[in-house]
Amino acid sequence: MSIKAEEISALIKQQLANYQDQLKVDEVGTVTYVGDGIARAHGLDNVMSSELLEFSNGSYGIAQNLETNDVGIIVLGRFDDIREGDTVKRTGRIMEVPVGEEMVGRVVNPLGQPVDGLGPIHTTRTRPIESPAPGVMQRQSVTQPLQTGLKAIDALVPIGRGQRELIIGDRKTGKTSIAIDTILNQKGQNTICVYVAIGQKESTVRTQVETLRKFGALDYTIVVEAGPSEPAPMLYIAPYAGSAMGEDFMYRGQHVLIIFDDLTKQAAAYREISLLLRRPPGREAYPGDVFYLHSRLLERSAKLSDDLGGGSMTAMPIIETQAGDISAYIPTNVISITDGQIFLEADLFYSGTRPAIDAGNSVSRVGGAAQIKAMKKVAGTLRTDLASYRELESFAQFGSDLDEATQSKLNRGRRTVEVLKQPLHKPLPVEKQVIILYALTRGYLDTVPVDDIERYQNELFDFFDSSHADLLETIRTTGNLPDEDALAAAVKAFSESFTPTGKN
Amino acid sequence: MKLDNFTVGKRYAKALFEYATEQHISDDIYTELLALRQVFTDNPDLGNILTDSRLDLNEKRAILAVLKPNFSQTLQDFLQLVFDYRRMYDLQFIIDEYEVLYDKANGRVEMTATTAVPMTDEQIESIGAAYLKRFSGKTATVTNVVKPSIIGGVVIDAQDRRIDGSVKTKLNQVRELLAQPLK
Repeated sequence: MSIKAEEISALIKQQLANYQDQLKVDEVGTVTYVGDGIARAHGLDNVMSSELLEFSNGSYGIAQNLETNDVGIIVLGRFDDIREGDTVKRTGRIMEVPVGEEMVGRVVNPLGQPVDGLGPIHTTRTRPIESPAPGVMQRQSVTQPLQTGLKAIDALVPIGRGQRELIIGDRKTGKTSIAIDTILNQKGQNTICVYVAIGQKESTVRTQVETLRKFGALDYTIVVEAGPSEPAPMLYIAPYAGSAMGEDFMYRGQHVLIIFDDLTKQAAAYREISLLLRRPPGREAYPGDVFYLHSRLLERSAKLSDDLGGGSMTAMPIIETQAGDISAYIPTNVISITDGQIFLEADLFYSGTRPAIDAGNSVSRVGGAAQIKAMKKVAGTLRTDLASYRELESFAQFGSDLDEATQSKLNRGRRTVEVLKQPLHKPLPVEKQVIILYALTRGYLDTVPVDDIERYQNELFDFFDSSHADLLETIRTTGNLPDEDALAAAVKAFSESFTPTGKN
Repeated sequence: MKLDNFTVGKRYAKALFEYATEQHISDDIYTELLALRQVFTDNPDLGNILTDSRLDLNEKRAILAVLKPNFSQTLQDFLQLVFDYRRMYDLQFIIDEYEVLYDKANGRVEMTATTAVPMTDEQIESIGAAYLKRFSGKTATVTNVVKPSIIGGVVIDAQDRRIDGSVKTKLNQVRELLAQPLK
């Protein structure tokens, strides 16, 4: 490639055309303390809360505590070369991140800068990371379903567009997997996904990004990442930055799914900042406004009214519990803020029931409004049935002679559990979920051995794909259950042709 | 919680300044405080010595006795009070804060003009006048600091404000412009 000097000078000229010779008048203060990701500065008398400040080394900070003598600042970025006596100047702006379609498919840090090594992001718009949540009249109630592709969730705890559904459970119970599978299932659904990884191991994030890339999900996903090696302020602002990126799409009428993985670590980062800023500690040493920390974040996820374009932002915050203790401070806070929770249990996970959703403790407060009619019909009482089966199961371990009704209930329960199992990264379209649940609730599975259910399910789907695609099509397009006789006949025909293992 | 130097300085300075204003002696006190500051600048450890609890009280009293008679009665009383409350270490902050209050009341503006080459007296005067014209204030005291690293132009620091007209900053702006991605 030959370098053309004229071209280069033309480009430089073009860049320099914007240069204006102006005197810069700044309000400055002096750093009096710096360390642990925070700084204190003297002066800056007119600074406003949450204002963006610039240090002389080029790092930015956010004014947090405005006290009589000094200002407490959280430093975003390098603070090891800020010295006592350095100047810090006001910018008059509040913290903003770049937003827009250009961000999609990229991995960025909480400042919106790319960290995936794919070059600069040419965005034209920015959005403040903190912005007021939509008001009462700007919203409408949640009606459209957001399909997660997981039978256990779509049937038991359905999620609607604009809902906030918490995923809660111990470490290693598959919280992140549920979130990732949900993203994978949004393919072709015209939904933008934002995955905010807060304090997750960089290697784990890399794995998730590769998974998304492998399944083609990165084409509609923004990954915001704040690693554990970054200073606490970055972890603290990450979910707000992610929300700002999602809001941009929501206010332009699109559907957004945002995942905060996980808010426990964000709360811990905020606790760290608050203690260093000498705010009084409260319960579990969290500061007094830790509830507001999460409520103002999750309130920004909403279903907008039709006047505003009808966009939505569905939030799936993740909370990690310690030994199943959902009555700790942060879990109770977030449970009360969200519109329901998916509770994952370690015991179920290790016994092979994956996703390990505890039907008794999981709820969705939006519920039926967010299900298609067909699903409502087949899954109506599934959740309560499953919960009563769990109760009965522990009971039945003692007795040997059980009456027929109990036997059949246990029988159905075992099959329900089996049907709701689903392998990793294999989201299922809603029409197929309806078919298998129809077969289950109408009793076609009662005669199939438990070990054969997975095979039955797969073969049933193949059968419908090849011979009854029209029935699937009806469910997909209308959302209603097709003509019951036709459906019953199809399932019946298949069940009769199905040969359980070991019979031939 | 232990109060920091700034808080202490502000409180004592405010009290002294208000008292001096009532007595119409704020100007005299100011000149005396400047002299006192000179003493503390010349003897950097003086404040520490007068506050350190490991030293004998009588020894400290002896030092104070040497220091006190040079000043007016009001300031003598004030020094005694500061000494009794063991705040001698914070005296320099008190003087600084007093200066801030005094400047504010009299419309005086302290300015630091940083240049690459020393300024002439006329330049110093005109830059002070220009600042007063643009912002508020009656008189300006300009201190010239020579710092060749700014290459050219002038940087003015006054009242928590920085007016940056240095060549170095302009070059930095140009560099930022050039580093921006092409559209």
